[in-house]
Amino acid sequence: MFQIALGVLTAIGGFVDIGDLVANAETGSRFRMALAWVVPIGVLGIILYAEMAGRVAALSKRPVFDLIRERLGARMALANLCASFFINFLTLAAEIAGVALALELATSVNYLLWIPLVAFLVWFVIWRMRYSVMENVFGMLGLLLITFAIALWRFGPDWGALLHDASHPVVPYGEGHATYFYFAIALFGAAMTPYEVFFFSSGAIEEHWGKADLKIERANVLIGFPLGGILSLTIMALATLVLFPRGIQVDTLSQVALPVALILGKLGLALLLVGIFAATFGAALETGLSSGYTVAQYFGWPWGKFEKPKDAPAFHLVMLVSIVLGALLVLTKVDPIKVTEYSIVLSAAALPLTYFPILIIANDPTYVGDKVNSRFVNFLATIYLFILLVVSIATIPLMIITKGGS
Amino acid sequence: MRLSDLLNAEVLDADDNKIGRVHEVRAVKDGPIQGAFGAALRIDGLIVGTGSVGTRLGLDRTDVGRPLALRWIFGGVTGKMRYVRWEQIAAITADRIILKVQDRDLSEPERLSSLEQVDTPTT
Amino acid sequence: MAGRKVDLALNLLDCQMVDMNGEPCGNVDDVELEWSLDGGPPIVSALLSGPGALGPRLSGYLGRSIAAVHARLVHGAAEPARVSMGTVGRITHQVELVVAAQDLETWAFQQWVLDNVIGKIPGSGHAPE
Repeated sequence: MFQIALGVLTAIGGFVDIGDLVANAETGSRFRMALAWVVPIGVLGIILYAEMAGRVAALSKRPVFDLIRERLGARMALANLCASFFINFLTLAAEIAGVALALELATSVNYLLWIPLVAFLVWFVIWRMRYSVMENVFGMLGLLLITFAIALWRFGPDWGALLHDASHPVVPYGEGHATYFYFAIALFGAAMTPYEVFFFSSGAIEEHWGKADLKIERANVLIGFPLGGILSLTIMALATLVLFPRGIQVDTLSQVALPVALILGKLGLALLLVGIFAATFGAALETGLSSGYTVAQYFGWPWGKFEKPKDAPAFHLVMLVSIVLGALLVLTKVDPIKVTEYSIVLSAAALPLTYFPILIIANDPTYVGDKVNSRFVNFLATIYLFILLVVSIATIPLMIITKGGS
Repeated sequence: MRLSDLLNAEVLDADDNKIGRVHEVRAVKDGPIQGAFGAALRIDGLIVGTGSVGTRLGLDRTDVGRPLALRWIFGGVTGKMRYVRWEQIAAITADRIILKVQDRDLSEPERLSSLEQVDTPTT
Repeated sequence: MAGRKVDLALNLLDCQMVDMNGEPCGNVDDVELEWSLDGGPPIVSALLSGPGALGPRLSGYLGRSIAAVHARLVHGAAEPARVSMGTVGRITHQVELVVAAQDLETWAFQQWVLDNVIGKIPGSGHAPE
């Protein structure tokens, strides 16, 4: 039971990170609910993807990047690693900035001043805190993001109108179709972030999952991610109802929190900020660990939070360097919202790189024994592969045409 | 000599015709004893072909043929495969392998299932 | 199993090596083949690991850079780390060795990182509590 809770929380809290907060709020503020359809597609995608990766990890005892290398060969996997690492790095920087922004909202102290402390804390938690404790604490606090749902309920919206808006998507006046699809990609990338999968599968091994845990793994995935998706749609709805009518765009984190502040007042905002802090801090931990996982697993080094650092030195070095560089990137005063946007859009573009080998491996009895993909799963998974390829090809052109979604 | 020297090397038959590239090196575990490993892996032959991607991903092994759509796509790319026994090799140079025999003397490689080739995992 | 056939590129190359405790200790970046004394086919004599083995396989700037950086850091590491076949136990989807990771040549890089960076940070000897 506890393990289910653990996984579900990872999924919810992990599902909603700075990327989801920004993407859903920004989409709602500009397109109302016209892009709501992307969220369920993204949720189903991440469910498929994470389930396969988790199953592969539990049965083969090997995590994603190790297997990618083995299957694709060293050269293709290295290119894959570079792309994945870079995007993961951008995400890490965005999450570190997100934590600092939440602290800025709470304390009015400029976010840049919080960066060194945040970076140190992220590193320190990875260095010292036990994996399961880490997951539980941040997962639980992240649940405070439910404040979004409470705010929406308190607002008492016309549910029928929202539903109609979502099921009859119309590009609002003043926005172009290219921008519409660009944001569709952004939302999709926010839902299907690769680090989730690196982390989930490495976590399965850290937690010593085996065949017996597969049911739990599936429960985690089937409950957690949809709940996270619902939370995403809640954020989008709030932006639709509060930000869109006022023509407010999402340039900073404060606009994301604004609907809650208006509807639930100071207490609601305070709870929400704790939730945002926890969710982004948790995501920073996950992306930090993912930077270590991907590199260490590619090169075959020892890795894992369960290891003493001295037994996995290079793994810890990679994480330390990534966190420091990520903090430095944020300190250059680059717009953190822009970094977030780029990280999710590029995540979407890079998805085929990691998804494709996992699909192959999940079908290979050498790794998963008799638990290969069922025909139904293969059917869905192949459709998604093609969706991912289309998204991937469309991303850069759309990014150029829309000038990064402006 | 290293395995990477053999893999992807161009293969020419006795008449100097290009047959393809080395996709795989097949070994048999019947060499002299090596410590804890037991019988050494002795090179038996080379799998030479014209396609590449499907083989690399193992889609041509007998029991990994799914997802079907991918097998169908990559199956077309696998191309014609041939097996070259080690005795049929005349010379190995820096970038190519020259055979003693002609293309038509070569047969198709035996298809092996993935599980036949490895020890079963302990868990 | 005597006489078992093994496809090397698929089952050995790029495989993870784990030591006797199940700890990862590098990948099989290349395989050393030894010519047989009786003129017969060559035999797999050792597994090669590390940038010295991987670098030459990865043509291109990135591969060479990795190899160069590594060689500079760990003296004499232009040569790949060699794992003789006598220390291999079983080949499953990974290569299970019968020795400990720290006893292998592949540990040299980890040791360097430990000596110069990680070991200097307090708490490196603690498992996270």
